[in-house]
Amino acid sequence: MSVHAAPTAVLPPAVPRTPGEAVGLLAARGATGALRGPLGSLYLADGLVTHAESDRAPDLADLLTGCGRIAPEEWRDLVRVHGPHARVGAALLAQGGLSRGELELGHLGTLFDAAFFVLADVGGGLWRFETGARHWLGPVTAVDAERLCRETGRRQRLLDGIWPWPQLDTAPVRPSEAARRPSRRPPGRRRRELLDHADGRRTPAELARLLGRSGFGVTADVRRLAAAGLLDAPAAAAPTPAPTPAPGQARDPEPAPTPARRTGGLHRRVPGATLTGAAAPGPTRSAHPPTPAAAHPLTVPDPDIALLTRVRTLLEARL
Amino acid sequence: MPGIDECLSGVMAIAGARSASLVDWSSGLALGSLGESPADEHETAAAETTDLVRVAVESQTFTGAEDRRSPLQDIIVTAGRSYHLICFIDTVFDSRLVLHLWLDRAEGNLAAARYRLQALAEELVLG
Repeated sequence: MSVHAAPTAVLPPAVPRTPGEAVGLLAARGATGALRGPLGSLYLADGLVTHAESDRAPDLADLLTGCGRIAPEEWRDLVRVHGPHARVGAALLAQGGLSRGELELGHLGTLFDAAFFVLADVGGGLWRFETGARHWLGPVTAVDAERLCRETGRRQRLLDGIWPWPQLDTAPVRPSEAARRPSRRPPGRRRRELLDHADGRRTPAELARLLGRSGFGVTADVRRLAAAGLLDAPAAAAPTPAPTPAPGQARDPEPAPTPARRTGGLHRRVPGATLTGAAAPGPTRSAHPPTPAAAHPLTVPDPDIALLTRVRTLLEARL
Repeated sequence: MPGIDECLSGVMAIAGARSASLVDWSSGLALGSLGESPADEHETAAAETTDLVRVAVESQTFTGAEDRRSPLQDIIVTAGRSYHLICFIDTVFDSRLVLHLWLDRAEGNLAAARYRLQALAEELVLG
Protein backbone atom coordinates (compact mmCIF):
# COMPACT_ATOMS: atom_id res chain seq x y z
CA MET A 1 0.00 0.00 0.00
CA SER A 2 1.24 3.38 -0.83
CA VAL A 3 -0.78 5.01 1.92
CA HIS A 4 2.19 6.09 3.87
CA ALA A 5 4.56 6.27 0.95
CA ALA A 6 2.50 9.01 -0.61
CA PRO A 7 3.50 12.57 0.22
CA THR A 8 1.27 12.79 3.21
CA ALA A 9 1.10 15.95 5.20
CA VAL A 10 -0.14 15.84 8.74
CA LEU A 11 -3.20 18.01 9.13
CA PRO A 12 -2.61 21.55 10.32
CA PRO A 13 -1.27 22.02 13.83
CA ALA A 14 -4.54 23.50 15.02
CA VAL A 15 -6.11 20.08 15.01
CA PRO A 16 -9.50 20.21 13.37
CA ARG A 17 -12.23 18.39 15.25
CA THR A 18 -14.61 17.82 12.36
CA PRO A 19 -14.19 17.12 8.65
CA GLY A 20 -15.72 20.54 8.02
CA GLU A 21 -13.04 22.24 10.09
CA ALA A 22 -10.36 20.25 8.30
CA VAL A 23 -11.51 21.28 4.86
CA GLY A 24 -11.95 24.85 6.10
CA LEU A 25 -8.33 24.97 7.26
CA LEU A 26 -7.09 23.49 4.02
CA ALA A 27 -9.15 25.96 2.02
CA ALA A 28 -7.80 28.86 4.04
CA ARG A 29 -4.29 27.78 3.16
CA GLY A 30 -5.13 27.49 -0.52
CA ALA A 31 -4.18 23.82 -0.39
CA THR A 32 -4.09 21.44 -3.33
CA GLY A 33 -4.53 17.71 -2.77
CA ALA A 34 -6.95 15.14 -1.41
CA LEU A 35 -8.46 14.99 2.07
CA ARG A 36 -9.25 11.35 2.71
CA GLY A 37 -11.53 10.06 5.44
CA PRO A 38 -13.26 6.77 6.21
CA LEU A 39 -16.23 7.48 3.94
CA GLY A 40 -14.51 9.14 1.01
CA SER A 41 -12.32 11.94 -0.26
CA LEU A 42 -12.50 15.62 -1.04
CA TYR A 43 -10.12 17.04 -3.62
CA LEU A 44 -8.97 20.63 -3.40
CA ALA A 45 -7.19 22.81 -5.92
CA ASP A 46 -5.87 26.14 -4.66
CA GLY A 47 -8.24 25.98 -1.71
CA LEU A 48 -11.40 25.25 -3.69
CA VAL A 49 -13.12 21.87 -3.59
CA THR A 50 -13.04 20.45 -7.09
CA HIS A 51 -14.14 16.83 -6.61
CA ALA A 52 -15.63 14.58 -3.98
CA GLU A 53 -16.12 10.86 -3.90
CA SER A 54 -17.73 8.50 -1.43
CA ASP A 55 -18.93 4.94 -1.58
CA ARG A 56 -22.21 6.22 -0.18
CA ALA A 57 -22.86 8.27 -3.31
CA PRO A 58 -22.95 7.14 -6.95
CA ASP A 59 -20.27 8.92 -8.95
CA LEU A 60 -20.33 10.37 -12.44
CA ALA A 61 -19.42 6.99 -13.92
CA ASP A 62 -22.38 5.36 -12.17
CA LEU A 63 -24.72 8.06 -13.44
CA LEU A 64 -23.51 8.03 -17.03
CA THR A 65 -23.14 4.30 -17.50
CA GLY A 66 -26.22 3.51 -15.40
CA CYS A 67 -28.54 5.41 -17.72
CA GLY A 68 -26.81 4.10 -20.83
CA ARG A 69 -25.39 7.47 -21.84
CA ILE A 70 -21.93 5.93 -22.05
CA ALA A 71 -21.08 2.25 -22.30
CA PRO A 72 -19.06 0.90 -19.37
CA GLU A 73 -16.23 -0.28 -21.61
CA GLU A 74 -16.10 3.09 -23.34
CA TRP A 75 -15.86 4.74 -19.94
CA ARG A 76 -13.08 2.40 -18.84
CA ASP A 77 -11.09 3.23 -21.97
CA LEU A 78 -11.56 6.95 -21.40
CA VAL A 79 -10.32 6.71 -17.85
CA ARG A 80 -7.42 4.47 -18.79
CA VAL A 81 -6.22 6.82 -21.49
CA HIS A 82 -7.06 10.23 -20.02
CA GLY A 83 -7.23 9.51 -16.29
CA PRO A 84 -3.49 9.66 -15.69
CA HIS A 85 -3.45 13.15 -17.22
CA ALA A 86 -6.56 14.20 -15.27
CA ARG A 87 -8.33 14.97 -18.51
CA VAL A 88 -11.30 12.60 -18.57
CA GLY A 89 -13.81 15.46 -18.40
CA ALA A 90 -12.14 17.33 -21.24
CA ALA A 91 -11.97 14.15 -23.32
CA LEU A 92 -15.67 13.49 -22.78
CA LEU A 93 -16.46 16.95 -24.13
CA ALA A 94 -13.98 16.70 -26.97
CA GLN A 95 -15.44 13.50 -28.34
CA GLY A 96 -18.98 14.76 -27.97
CA GLY A 97 -20.00 12.13 -25.49
CA LEU A 98 -21.43 14.79 -23.25
CA SER A 99 -22.37 18.44 -23.44
CA ARG A 100 -20.66 21.02 -21.26
CA GLY A 101 -23.92 21.56 -19.35
CA GLU A 102 -24.44 17.85 -18.73
CA LEU A 103 -20.89 17.45 -17.48
CA GLU A 104 -21.24 20.40 -15.10
CA LEU A 105 -24.64 19.29 -13.83
CA GLY A 106 -23.51 15.71 -13.29
CA HIS A 107 -20.26 16.78 -11.72
CA LEU A 108 -21.72 19.36 -9.33
CA GLY A 109 -24.54 17.04 -8.34
CA THR A 110 -22.20 14.16 -7.53
CA LEU A 111 -19.72 16.51 -5.84
CA PHE A 112 -22.27 17.88 -3.36
CA ASP A 113 -23.71 14.40 -2.90
CA ALA A 114 -20.42 12.70 -2.03
CA ALA A 115 -19.20 15.68 -0.01
CA PHE A 116 -22.26 15.42 2.19
CA PHE A 117 -21.35 11.90 3.28
CA VAL A 118 -17.68 12.75 3.74
CA LEU A 119 -18.33 15.94 5.71
CA ALA A 120 -21.26 14.67 7.77
CA ASP A 121 -19.15 11.78 9.04
CA VAL A 122 -18.40 12.46 12.67
CA GLY A 123 -17.32 8.91 13.39
CA GLY A 124 -13.68 9.86 13.66
CA GLY A 125 -11.31 7.34 12.14
CA LEU A 126 -8.25 7.98 10.09
CA TRP A 127 -8.11 11.21 8.14
CA ARG A 128 -5.18 12.35 6.11
CA PHE A 129 -4.29 14.90 3.51
CA GLU A 130 -2.41 13.86 0.43
CA THR A 131 -0.69 16.94 -0.89
CA GLY A 132 -0.80 17.47 -4.61
CA ALA A 133 -3.19 14.62 -5.38
CA ARG A 134 -5.29 15.26 -8.47
CA HIS A 135 -8.59 13.72 -9.45
CA TRP A 136 -8.69 11.73 -12.70
CA LEU A 137 -11.73 13.61 -14.02
CA GLY A 138 -9.82 16.90 -14.26
CA PRO A 139 -11.14 20.41 -13.69
CA VAL A 140 -14.85 20.95 -14.29
CA THR A 141 -16.25 23.27 -11.64
CA ALA A 142 -15.09 24.20 -8.16
CA VAL A 143 -17.00 24.90 -4.97
CA ASP A 144 -16.08 27.13 -2.07
CA ALA A 145 -15.37 24.99 1.02
CA GLU A 146 -17.47 27.16 3.27
CA ARG A 147 -20.46 26.82 0.95
CA LEU A 148 -19.98 23.06 0.91
CA CYS A 149 -19.96 22.89 4.71
CA ARG A 150 -23.00 25.14 4.96
CA GLU A 151 -24.83 22.90 2.50
CA THR A 152 -23.84 19.79 4.44
CA GLY A 153 -25.29 21.29 7.62
CA ARG A 154 -28.47 22.26 5.81
CA ARG A 155 -28.88 18.72 4.44
CA GLN A 156 -28.37 17.22 7.87
CA ARG A 157 -31.06 19.47 9.31
CA LEU A 158 -33.31 18.57 6.42
CA LEU A 159 -32.92 14.84 7.10
CA ASP A 160 -33.53 15.31 10.80
CA GLY A 161 -36.57 17.40 10.02
CA ILE A 162 -38.05 14.53 8.04
CA TRP A 163 -37.44 11.83 10.63
CA PRO A 164 -34.48 12.03 13.01
CA TRP A 165 -33.34 8.45 12.89
CA PRO A 166 -29.87 8.23 11.30
CA GLN A 167 -29.76 4.44 11.60
CA LEU A 168 -32.02 4.39 8.53
CA ASP A 169 -29.22 5.82 6.41
CA THR A 170 -26.95 2.80 6.58
CA ALA A 171 -29.14 -0.17 7.48
CA PRO A 172 -30.78 -2.42 4.90
CA VAL A 173 -34.09 -0.91 3.83
CA ARG A 174 -36.97 -3.12 4.94
CA PRO A 175 -40.56 -2.39 3.91
CA SER A 176 -43.02 -2.69 6.78
CA GLU A 177 -46.21 -4.72 6.83
CA ALA A 178 -48.18 -1.59 6.07
CA ALA A 179 -46.23 -1.06 2.85
CA ARG A 180 -47.83 -4.17 1.37
CA ARG A 181 -51.25 -2.61 1.41
CA PRO A 182 -52.15 -1.00 -1.92
CA SER A 183 -53.93 1.76 -0.07
CA ARG A 184 -50.64 2.79 1.48
CA ARG A 185 -48.68 3.47 -1.72
CA PRO A 186 -46.46 6.50 -1.10
CA PRO A 187 -46.87 9.65 -3.19
CA GLY A 188 -44.47 10.18 -6.06
CA ARG A 189 -43.09 7.77 -8.63
CA ARG A 190 -39.61 7.87 -7.16
CA ARG A 191 -40.63 6.85 -3.69
CA ARG A 192 -42.77 4.03 -5.05
CA GLU A 193 -39.87 2.75 -7.13
CA LEU A 194 -37.59 2.98 -4.15
CA LEU A 195 -40.01 1.00 -2.03
CA ASP A 196 -40.37 -1.60 -4.77
CA HIS A 197 -36.61 -2.12 -4.84
CA ALA A 198 -36.21 -2.32 -1.09
CA ASP A 199 -35.73 -6.02 -0.48
CA GLY A 200 -34.60 -5.97 3.13
CA ARG A 201 -30.97 -6.45 2.13
CA ARG A 202 -29.99 -3.39 0.13
CA THR A 203 -28.81 -0.31 1.99
CA PRO A 204 -29.73 3.19 0.85
CA ALA A 205 -26.30 3.53 -0.79
CA GLU A 206 -26.85 0.34 -2.75
CA LEU A 207 -30.33 1.42 -3.77
CA ALA A 208 -28.94 4.76 -4.93
CA ARG A 209 -26.43 3.04 -7.16
CA LEU A 210 -28.97 0.53 -8.42
CA LEU A 211 -31.45 3.24 -9.37
CA GLY A 212 -28.78 5.71 -10.52
CA ARG A 213 -29.93 8.34 -8.08
CA SER A 214 -28.12 10.61 -5.69
CA GLY A 215 -27.19 9.11 -2.34
CA PHE A 216 -28.70 12.03 -0.49
CA GLY A 217 -31.93 11.88 -2.49
CA VAL A 218 -32.39 8.22 -1.63
CA THR A 219 -31.45 8.81 2.00
CA ALA A 220 -34.07 11.55 2.26
CA ASP A 221 -36.69 9.38 0.57
CA VAL A 222 -35.88 6.48 2.89
CA ARG A 223 -36.48 8.74 5.86
CA ARG A 224 -39.73 9.97 4.32
CA LEU A 225 -40.91 6.40 3.78
CA ALA A 226 -39.99 5.54 7.35
CA ALA A 227 -41.79 8.62 8.61
CA ALA A 228 -44.90 7.44 6.79
CA GLY A 229 -44.60 4.07 8.52
CA LEU A 230 -43.75 2.21 5.33
CA LEU A 231 -40.34 1.00 6.47
CA ASP A 232 -39.26 -0.93 9.51
CA ALA A 233 -36.96 1.33 11.44
CA PRO A 234 -33.72 -0.32 12.49
CA ALA A 235 -33.47 -0.56 16.23
CA ALA A 236 -29.75 -0.36 16.79
CA ALA A 237 -27.90 2.58 18.14
CA ALA A 238 -27.13 5.69 16.18
CA PRO A 239 -23.60 6.14 14.90
CA THR A 240 -21.23 6.24 17.79
CA PRO A 241 -17.60 7.31 17.64
CA ALA A 242 -16.01 4.69 15.49
CA PRO A 243 -12.78 3.00 16.37
CA THR A 244 -9.88 4.15 14.24
CA PRO A 245 -9.48 1.71 11.39
CA ALA A 246 -6.12 0.08 10.98
CA PRO A 247 -3.93 2.24 8.77
CA GLY A 248 -3.82 -0.43 6.13
CA GLN A 249 -7.57 -0.25 5.79
CA ALA A 250 -7.60 3.29 4.55
CA ARG A 251 -9.38 3.54 1.28
CA ASP A 252 -8.13 4.88 -2.00
CA PRO A 253 -4.45 4.97 -1.33
CA GLU A 254 -3.81 6.86 -4.53
CA PRO A 255 -5.91 8.89 -6.94
CA ALA A 256 -5.98 5.92 -9.25
CA PRO A 257 -8.72 5.98 -11.83
CA THR A 258 -10.97 3.19 -10.70
CA PRO A 259 -14.41 4.37 -11.65
CA ALA A 260 -15.50 0.97 -12.85
CA ARG A 261 -15.30 -0.30 -9.34
CA ARG A 262 -17.67 -2.71 -7.65
CA THR A 263 -21.03 -3.48 -9.04
CA GLY A 264 -23.48 -3.81 -6.24
CA GLY A 265 -20.67 -4.27 -3.78
CA LEU A 266 -21.10 -3.02 -0.31
CA HIS A 267 -19.43 0.21 0.57
CA ARG A 268 -16.88 -0.22 3.28
CA ARG A 269 -18.44 0.80 6.50
CA VAL A 270 -16.97 2.44 9.48
CA PRO A 271 -17.08 -0.14 12.22
CA GLY A 272 -19.74 0.75 14.69
CA ALA A 273 -21.19 3.46 12.51
CA THR A 274 -23.85 1.29 11.08
CA LEU A 275 -26.35 -1.26 12.00
CA THR A 276 -24.39 -4.45 11.65
CA GLY A 277 -27.31 -6.62 10.81
CA ALA A 278 -29.87 -7.39 13.42
CA ALA A 279 -27.35 -9.74 14.94
CA ALA A 280 -26.00 -7.58 17.67
CA PRO A 281 -28.27 -4.69 18.38
CA GLY A 282 -26.28 -2.79 20.92
CA PRO A 283 -28.55 -1.41 23.58
CA THR A 284 -26.86 1.95 23.38
CA ARG A 285 -29.18 4.91 23.28
CA SER A 286 -32.76 3.92 22.61
CA ALA A 287 -33.15 0.28 21.75
CA HIS A 288 -36.71 0.81 20.61
CA PRO A 289 -37.39 1.22 16.96
CA PRO A 290 -39.47 4.30 16.52
CA THR A 291 -42.89 3.00 15.76
CA PRO A 292 -44.67 5.60 13.72
CA ALA A 293 -46.45 8.15 15.85
CA ALA A 294 -44.87 6.77 18.96
CA ALA A 295 -41.38 6.79 20.35
CA HIS A 296 -39.33 9.78 19.52
CA PRO A 297 -35.58 10.02 19.89
CA LEU A 298 -34.65 12.31 22.71
CA THR A 299 -31.93 14.06 20.79
CA VAL A 300 -34.30 16.15 18.75
CA PRO A 301 -33.51 19.81 19.31
CA ASP A 302 -37.13 20.76 19.52
CA PRO A 303 -39.20 17.69 20.29
CA ASP A 304 -42.54 19.46 20.09
CA ILE A 305 -42.11 20.69 16.56
CA ALA A 306 -40.60 17.43 15.42
CA LEU A 307 -43.43 15.47 16.97
CA LEU A 308 -46.02 17.68 15.36
CA THR A 309 -44.32 17.22 12.03
CA ARG A 310 -44.44 13.49 12.51
CA VAL A 311 -48.09 13.51 13.41
CA ARG A 312 -48.88 15.63 10.40
CA THR A 313 -46.91 13.33 8.12
CA LEU A 314 -48.75 10.34 9.49
CA LEU A 315 -52.12 11.94 9.03
CA GLU A 316 -51.25 12.88 5.48
CA ALA A 317 -50.04 9.39 4.76
CA ARG A 318 -53.27 7.88 5.97
CA LEU A 319 -55.74 10.27 4.47
CA MET B 1 -21.33 24.97 -25.59
CA PRO B 2 -23.18 26.61 -22.73
CA GLY B 3 -22.38 25.63 -19.17
CA ILE B 4 -24.31 26.55 -16.04
CA ASP B 5 -22.95 30.11 -15.94
CA GLU B 6 -23.79 30.82 -19.58
CA CYS B 7 -27.25 29.38 -19.08
CA LEU B 8 -27.93 31.61 -16.07
CA SER B 9 -26.58 34.64 -17.93
CA GLY B 10 -28.95 33.77 -20.75
CA VAL B 11 -31.86 33.66 -18.34
CA MET B 12 -30.89 37.04 -16.89
CA ALA B 13 -30.86 38.46 -20.42
CA ILE B 14 -34.60 37.78 -20.72
CA ALA B 15 -36.45 41.12 -20.61
CA GLY B 16 -37.72 41.79 -17.09
CA ALA B 17 -35.58 39.11 -15.40
CA ARG B 18 -34.91 39.89 -11.75
CA SER B 19 -33.16 36.68 -10.80
CA ALA B 20 -32.18 33.34 -12.25
CA SER B 21 -31.42 30.23 -10.29
CA LEU B 22 -30.62 26.61 -11.05
CA VAL B 23 -32.07 24.48 -8.28
CA ASP B 24 -31.58 20.81 -7.45
CA TRP B 25 -34.93 19.91 -5.95
CA SER B 26 -33.77 16.55 -4.61
CA SER B 27 -31.85 18.49 -1.99
CA GLY B 28 -32.95 22.12 -2.21
CA LEU B 29 -29.51 23.24 -3.32
CA ALA B 30 -29.00 26.26 -5.57
CA LEU B 31 -26.34 25.08 -8.01
CA GLY B 32 -26.01 28.61 -9.30
CA SER B 33 -27.83 31.94 -9.03
CA LEU B 34 -27.70 35.39 -10.56
CA GLY B 35 -29.51 38.63 -9.74
CA GLU B 36 -31.30 39.73 -6.59
CA SER B 37 -32.90 36.96 -4.60
CA PRO B 38 -36.68 36.95 -4.18
CA ALA B 39 -36.12 35.73 -0.61
CA ASP B 40 -33.47 37.06 1.76
CA GLU B 41 -30.87 34.96 -0.02
CA HIS B 42 -30.70 32.58 -2.96
CA GLU B 43 -30.30 29.54 -0.73
CA THR B 44 -33.57 30.28 1.03
CA ALA B 45 -35.31 30.82 -2.28
CA ALA B 46 -33.95 27.50 -3.57
CA ALA B 47 -35.18 25.61 -0.53
CA GLU B 48 -38.64 27.13 -0.81
CA THR B 49 -38.80 26.57 -4.56
CA THR B 50 -37.99 22.94 -3.82
CA ASP B 51 -40.97 22.66 -1.49
CA LEU B 52 -43.31 23.93 -4.19
CA VAL B 53 -41.83 21.67 -6.86
CA ARG B 54 -42.03 18.61 -4.66
CA VAL B 55 -45.68 19.17 -3.85
CA ALA B 56 -46.51 19.47 -7.54
CA VAL B 57 -44.42 16.49 -8.63
CA GLU B 58 -45.79 14.20 -5.97
CA SER B 59 -49.40 15.10 -6.46
CA GLN B 60 -51.82 12.81 -8.19
CA THR B 61 -53.74 15.79 -9.52
CA PHE B 62 -50.90 17.36 -11.49
CA THR B 63 -49.01 14.30 -12.59
CA GLY B 64 -51.38 11.33 -12.45
CA ALA B 65 -52.48 11.52 -16.06
CA GLU B 66 -49.09 12.50 -17.45
CA ASP B 67 -46.03 10.81 -18.88
CA ARG B 68 -44.26 9.01 -16.07
CA ARG B 69 -40.76 10.12 -16.83
CA SER B 70 -41.20 13.86 -17.17
CA PRO B 71 -44.74 14.68 -16.12
CA LEU B 72 -44.24 18.40 -15.62
CA GLN B 73 -42.79 20.97 -17.98
CA ASP B 74 -42.98 24.07 -15.85
CA ILE B 75 -44.75 25.71 -12.94
CA ILE B 76 -45.82 29.33 -13.18
CA VAL B 77 -46.70 31.42 -10.16
CA THR B 78 -48.37 34.72 -10.91
CA ALA B 79 -47.84 37.23 -8.15
CA GLY B 80 -48.99 40.84 -7.96
CA ARG B 81 -45.81 42.39 -9.31
CA SER B 82 -43.96 39.45 -10.74
CA TYR B 83 -44.05 35.99 -12.22
CA HIS B 84 -42.07 32.97 -11.14
CA LEU B 85 -41.31 30.56 -13.95
CA ILE B 86 -39.98 27.24 -12.79
CA CYS B 87 -38.88 25.13 -15.72
CA PHE B 88 -37.96 21.46 -15.35
CA ILE B 89 -34.68 20.33 -16.87
CA ASP B 90 -34.62 16.92 -18.43
CA THR B 91 -31.24 15.18 -18.26
CA VAL B 92 -30.51 11.72 -19.53
CA PHE B 93 -29.11 10.69 -16.16
CA ASP B 94 -31.25 10.95 -13.07
CA SER B 95 -31.38 14.48 -11.76
CA ARG B 96 -34.01 16.69 -10.28
CA LEU B 97 -33.30 20.14 -11.59
CA VAL B 98 -35.32 23.24 -12.30
CA LEU B 99 -34.47 26.61 -13.73
CA HIS B 100 -36.20 29.36 -11.76
CA LEU B 101 -36.77 32.75 -13.35
CA TRP B 102 -38.17 35.60 -11.29
CA LEU B 103 -39.71 37.96 -13.80
CA ASP B 104 -41.00 41.49 -13.39
CA ARG B 105 -44.59 41.71 -14.57
CA ALA B 106 -44.35 45.27 -15.85
CA GLU B 107 -41.15 44.75 -17.81
CA GLY B 108 -41.42 41.14 -18.88
CA ASN B 109 -43.54 39.19 -21.29
CA LEU B 110 -44.70 35.92 -19.84
CA ALA B 111 -45.14 34.01 -23.09
CA ALA B 112 -41.82 35.12 -24.56
CA ALA B 113 -39.98 34.49 -21.31
CA ARG B 114 -41.46 31.04 -20.94
CA TYR B 115 -40.49 30.13 -24.48
CA ARG B 116 -36.94 31.41 -24.01
CA LEU B 117 -36.52 29.72 -20.63
CA GLN B 118 -37.54 26.41 -22.13
CA ALA B 119 -35.00 26.83 -24.92
CA LEU B 120 -32.23 27.68 -22.45
CA ALA B 121 -33.07 24.64 -20.32
CA GLU B 122 -32.79 22.43 -23.38
CA GLU B 123 -29.57 24.05 -24.58
CA LEU B 124 -27.97 23.52 -21.21
CA VAL B 125 -28.37 19.79 -21.58
CA LEU B 126 -28.08 19.32 -25.33
CA GLY B 127 -25.25 21.80 -25.84
